[in-house]
Amino acid sequence: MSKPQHTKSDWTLSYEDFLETNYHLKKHSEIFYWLCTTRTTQESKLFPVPPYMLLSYVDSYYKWPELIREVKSETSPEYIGDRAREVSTKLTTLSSGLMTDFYLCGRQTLIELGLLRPDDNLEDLHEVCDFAKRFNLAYRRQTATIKNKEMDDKSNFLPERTLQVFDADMYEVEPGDELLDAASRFMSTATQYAFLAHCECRIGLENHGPYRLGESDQMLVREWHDLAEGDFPWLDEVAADVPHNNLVMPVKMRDTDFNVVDDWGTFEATPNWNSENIGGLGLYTSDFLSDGYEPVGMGSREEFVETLEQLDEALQNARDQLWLRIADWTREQMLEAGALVYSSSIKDIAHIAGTYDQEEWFSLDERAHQLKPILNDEFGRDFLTALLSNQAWNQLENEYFMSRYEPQEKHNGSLYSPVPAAVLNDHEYTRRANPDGWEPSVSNLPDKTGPYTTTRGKLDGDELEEASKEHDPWFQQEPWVNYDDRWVKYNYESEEADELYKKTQEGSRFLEGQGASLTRSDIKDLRGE
Amino acid sequence: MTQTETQKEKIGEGDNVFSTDENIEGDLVRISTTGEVAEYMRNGVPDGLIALIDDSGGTLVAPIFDEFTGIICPSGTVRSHLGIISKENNVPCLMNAELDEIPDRVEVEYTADPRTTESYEDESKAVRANIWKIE
Repeated sequence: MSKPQHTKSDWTLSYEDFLETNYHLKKHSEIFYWLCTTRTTQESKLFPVPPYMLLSYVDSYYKWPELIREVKSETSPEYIGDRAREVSTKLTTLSSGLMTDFYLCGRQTLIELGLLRPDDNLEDLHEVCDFAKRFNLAYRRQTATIKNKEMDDKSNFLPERTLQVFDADMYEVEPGDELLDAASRFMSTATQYAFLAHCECRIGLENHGPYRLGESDQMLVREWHDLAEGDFPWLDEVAADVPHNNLVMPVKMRDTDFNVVDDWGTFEATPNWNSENIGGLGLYTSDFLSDGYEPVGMGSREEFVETLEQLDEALQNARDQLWLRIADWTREQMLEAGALVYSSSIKDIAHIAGTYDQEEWFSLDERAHQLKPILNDEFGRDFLTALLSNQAWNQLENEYFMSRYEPQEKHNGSLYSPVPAAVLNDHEYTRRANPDGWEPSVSNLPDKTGPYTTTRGKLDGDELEEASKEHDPWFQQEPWVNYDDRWVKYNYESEEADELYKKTQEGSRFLEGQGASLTRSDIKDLRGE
Repeated sequence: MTQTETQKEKIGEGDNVFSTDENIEGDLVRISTTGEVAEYMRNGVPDGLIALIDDSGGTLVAPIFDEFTGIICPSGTVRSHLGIISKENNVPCLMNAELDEIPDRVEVEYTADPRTTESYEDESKAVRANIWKIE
């Protein structure tokens, strides 16, 4: 793989970039704090979660700036954001938000440990914040936001043409019918397996929406990622019979209002989520090599039930085999695997750019690795709890400070230490954590030996790299990439709009070839409702 | 005081993940090691068991989770991984539970209102579900 040339940087922080960087630090501080405080520190009797979180933060801090520069040597953050919006990849609303937070938590961890100052490695800091902002603005182009919280905990990033296909092709279900039972079992197994495959981390799950379906119903789009043999070495063999790496299930909920779909994909609804309120279901697969969403087992109702039952069985088998494999791991292996799940959460930026390197994303930075001796369970829990509740020494603001969510009786601070303005006086700061480039170093996990499961079948590493470099999907090409819902609103009768919708409708049960002029009422007619 | 009331003593409370139509009574078993889970994998989980699970994660009991009648977890929140999985599997669950003792048999107020995100910002809106010892 060709690497970008690394040279000593003469970059300096402009006043404009300084202000914008601190704006992002503050915005992400408040939102990440809220997301953490409504959950408490996640612990597990299987995985050393707080210690691996700290390890992953520091690993991300040291390696992400260089991995992002590699990606940017091939393409722009906007290109990757546009691609991620049109297909289902690991670049979800969850991991897209964490693109900034994991790096910043690594920075703050090192500041609290006395190994870094807030004015160190400012070029890296600006690089990561700027990449994340530009990626998210493109990915969430429909809502012009970078976080769900800005939409009062909603994420409606899919274009109408995709939503129409999901809406039209769903199979109606009623309480007690065979399809609903099979889907409920599949969803619970997939969620449980995703937690295990991701070493107790929720990054394999995504829920986005809600999307409005008439006056009283809403659609939530549920996704499960990295289920099959793929980037995670520990899924080799045990997940060989899982046929799809990513699965997407649009779910129609009757008489339900999702009042919260937060940045980590957790949802709350009124009335509460209850499978008896599910009114319709679909199933798709998709990834960075697909041209959109490919229906899975939706040819007939019977085929759909059978497909869900087969998937449920395959995931249960993979879950049980994987659990037995992990139960035999050493604590060190669990620590590393968990950390790598976190720090590889944005790896699909490299898959899309064609710069993915298994060793780079699945080995730890040497400096991060050196922290392992202090990362026992007690230190990990207490340090992480202090860090994520803004109680660490360097986080405290002056005594008059009040944050957005903390109560008055608690003197508190900001999760991420801002850059001090004084750096603009003499620009005497380090630019990069890796002035001579970055190389992967440490892993005590088994090597990746199995294939990569994609929408083009099972590929080896070379085939995957070649396919990633060559793939330039239709929706990314001009003029299509710039035809959004706002353009369609005024041009739906044009040939180009019709073509745009027909491309998205390929393979649809009810909308194939229907074009751009449909309303929801037309879709109901086509479904015979 | 009736005979029934004397046999049912409150010993704890927790945050309910979702509401059921009826409270649930069952034998209580504490699970905190992979060895205990492996044994249940080999021999099966007896009917009517309520699991007291020491951590709020979703992986320790992954292979046997949906075989329990109910879950009580002394840590985490309703938004923790264990809470998410209980909702998905329709297995009633109390998070952030506090118990004075660990009796052999309990009744759990899974009918209580679930804890909401809003109540984490305003504790006065929090509703706790009861746990009773059954003798």
